[in-house]
Amino acid sequence: MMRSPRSIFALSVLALVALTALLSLVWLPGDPFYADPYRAWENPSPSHPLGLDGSGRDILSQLILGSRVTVIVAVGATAVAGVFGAIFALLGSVGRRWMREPVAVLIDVLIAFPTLLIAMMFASVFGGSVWVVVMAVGIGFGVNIGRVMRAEVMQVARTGYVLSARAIGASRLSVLTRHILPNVSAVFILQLALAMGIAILAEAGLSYLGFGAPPSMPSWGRMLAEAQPFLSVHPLTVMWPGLAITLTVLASYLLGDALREALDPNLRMRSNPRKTTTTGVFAR
Amino acid sequence: MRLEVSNLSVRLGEKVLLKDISFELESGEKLGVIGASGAGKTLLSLALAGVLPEKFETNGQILFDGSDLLTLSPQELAEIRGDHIGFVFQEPRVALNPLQKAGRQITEALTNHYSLTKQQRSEAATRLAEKVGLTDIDRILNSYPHQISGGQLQRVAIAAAISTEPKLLIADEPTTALDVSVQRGVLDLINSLSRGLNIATIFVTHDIAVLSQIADTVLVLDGGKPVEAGTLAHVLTSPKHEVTRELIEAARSAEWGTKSE
Repeated sequence: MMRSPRSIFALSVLALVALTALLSLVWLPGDPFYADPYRAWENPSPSHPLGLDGSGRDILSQLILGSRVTVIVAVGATAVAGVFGAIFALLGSVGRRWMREPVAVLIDVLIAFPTLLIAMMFASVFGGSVWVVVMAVGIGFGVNIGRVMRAEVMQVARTGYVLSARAIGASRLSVLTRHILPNVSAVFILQLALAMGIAILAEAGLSYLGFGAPPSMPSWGRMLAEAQPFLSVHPLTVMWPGLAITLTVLASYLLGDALREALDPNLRMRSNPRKTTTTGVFAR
Repeated sequence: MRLEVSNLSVRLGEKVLLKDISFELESGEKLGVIGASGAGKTLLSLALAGVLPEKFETNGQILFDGSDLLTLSPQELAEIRGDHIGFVFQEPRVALNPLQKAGRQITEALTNHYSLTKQQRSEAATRLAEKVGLTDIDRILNSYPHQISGGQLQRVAIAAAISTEPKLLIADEPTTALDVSVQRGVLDLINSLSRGLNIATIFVTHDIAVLSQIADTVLVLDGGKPVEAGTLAHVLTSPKHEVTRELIEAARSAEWGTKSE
């Protein structure tokens, strides 16, 4: 089911990023923090395969170390988004009757706050850190997941098999675990894959703006921000982090797409295929 | 078993959807509920099943062996539903979970009400599958609904409904989604189950030809109100109400239509 070139590409890129992050724990090609101002902007050479940045630091080492932040944010924010989304969705659809509408309204209100704004609020209160990004993106996209999943659960809750399960005396819990959850899990997994792509993009964006990881922790977004003013003079130094971000985000979107097709025969059969949310943090 | 429905009515806001439905049913008897689309047939079976959404307001009495289903607590109701009352819904493809194998769904009502070992469950599934005349049982029990034909699937749904040997079976248009050649088999099955297990049956349909093959007594609905009731023979031979005459006329012309082809 995951044999298409697209999913092979997506999985390889994501695996490569994950392995790189693991590798950074035990080995780096050079010292990513050692700055040699006299060798700033040096072109690639055997000892520095991707060249040196504006402060004379080894780009490859920084890139490898930066993948840690990407992986932490991707996994962390996706987990937070999943938990938040699931809580919102369940409270708003099969929770107690009196709390369903308020939860739906709360989701609508929270959705009005762009993830970026939430992150900036958090950063100004708690200071910029990877965890601020994780929580901000997790909550921001978690609300989105909550809205999508709430609609999905309510739709499944109205199907014939849920009706007939209730008619034969199944308890609320067993209707939920045996009938509703399995039938919405495909959409949930798809949403998580989307959340991962958005989280990676958001981390890069926030680090670019200076709200993300602290300077002691290199990240692709800040590498991009630091090199960007010199784009016309030293395009290579901008290209490396840019390429890393683009490929990783692309891979996670493609994975989401492949998952959608592989997991859910219902999605394939629907005449009006669900539109994948392309709203990144900046689109809102 | 004795079912007494008296003055059952269902309202949605100001709108009265079902009004003054009353009938009685004993073990082994088969009541056919008939009416045109929108007459309230499905609403009646959902109300009897107690699965109407909460915004519907139900009044009257549904006495099942003396206990009023409308006033029971959800727990007490859950014990009766599925154990003493079985349901077969119109479209088996919709009424079965697409992600569960047929074998598991056949025994769902059983597992809701009794604790069974895995072994007992699979034995029960096979026994039930035999009882409803499924062929190729091993394959079907291990298949998902989309891998099973409509007729076989309705047999699976019926097997699930009778798994607990209920005293009352409510079937809402169980043959409508099936083609004519398969319909006959399902009707025969319901007939023989009702005779063999002495189950009381409420059979909802819009098709008087189907009705005549299954019902002992008939309740005709129109616009949510009962317009005629009586034995099958009586209602068919001397219909009093316009709606009944139209339904009979419709069945007759359909029959002529097939003959002239």
